[in-house]
Amino acid sequence: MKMDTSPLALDVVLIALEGRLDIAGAAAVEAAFAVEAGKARVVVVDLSQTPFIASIGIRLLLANAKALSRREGSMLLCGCDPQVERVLRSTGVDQLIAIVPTREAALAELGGGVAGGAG
Amino acid sequence: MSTSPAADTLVSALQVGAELAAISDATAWLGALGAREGWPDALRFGLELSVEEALTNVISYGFAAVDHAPQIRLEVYRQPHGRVAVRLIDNGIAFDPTGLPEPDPAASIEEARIGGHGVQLMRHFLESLSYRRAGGENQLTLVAGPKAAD
Repeated sequence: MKMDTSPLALDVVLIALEGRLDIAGAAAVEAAFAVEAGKARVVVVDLSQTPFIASIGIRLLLANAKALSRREGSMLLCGCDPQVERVLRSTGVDQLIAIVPTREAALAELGGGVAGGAG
Repeated sequence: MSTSPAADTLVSALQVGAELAAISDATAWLGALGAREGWPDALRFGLELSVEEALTNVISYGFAAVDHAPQIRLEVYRQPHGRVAVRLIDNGIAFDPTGLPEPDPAASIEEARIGGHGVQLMRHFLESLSYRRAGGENQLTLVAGPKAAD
């Protein structure tokens, strides 16, 4: 599995994952993912090149979303394959981490709240 | 459960090494088999996912306290009405994943448990998941149907 990181807005980082988020894939990106997520306030995870996710991938997303939340940050997921989205919904991940269609929708969802930092 | 030869045809079988690195090889083998067999995408996805979760449990916990050589085997059966059954057989410690409780839904990300979703996924993506212990082996049978996308 490959991981590509780029800034999307102020304090908003896009992490694009490419490959299967299975036990081997999660092991390959786990450390780098935590480092990159640790630098941002909002992490948008682009899953459009991730055709498969297992519970180990859910663990990766939830652990990092939890760490972000402790720092008043958040995570959004975009570009989910229909089967991947089914995995996320059937385990209730969609109730804990916002799922939006595209990275543009993620930015719209964040609105002015990121730069403003209100609250 | 019944596994009458008239109803179920063995399609293929695979020996799986008792190390985590073997899991991706096993799911890749299953995916390629599904492509050859013409399984619908949702059925193939559900079986790959369920086998990944089941193997993760067996390999992570099944052999920690045993001193005999690990044996793990996957058997894939074609069943009537487009169903596919995968039997996972291992000689690790007795472990019935079908008895595990569902994790409680978390009210917030702060309260969420980060693990424990494997069996929940298997139940969601499979038509049935059944277990028996026989002859010193765990036999977990995973059945997926053509309506797996519903």
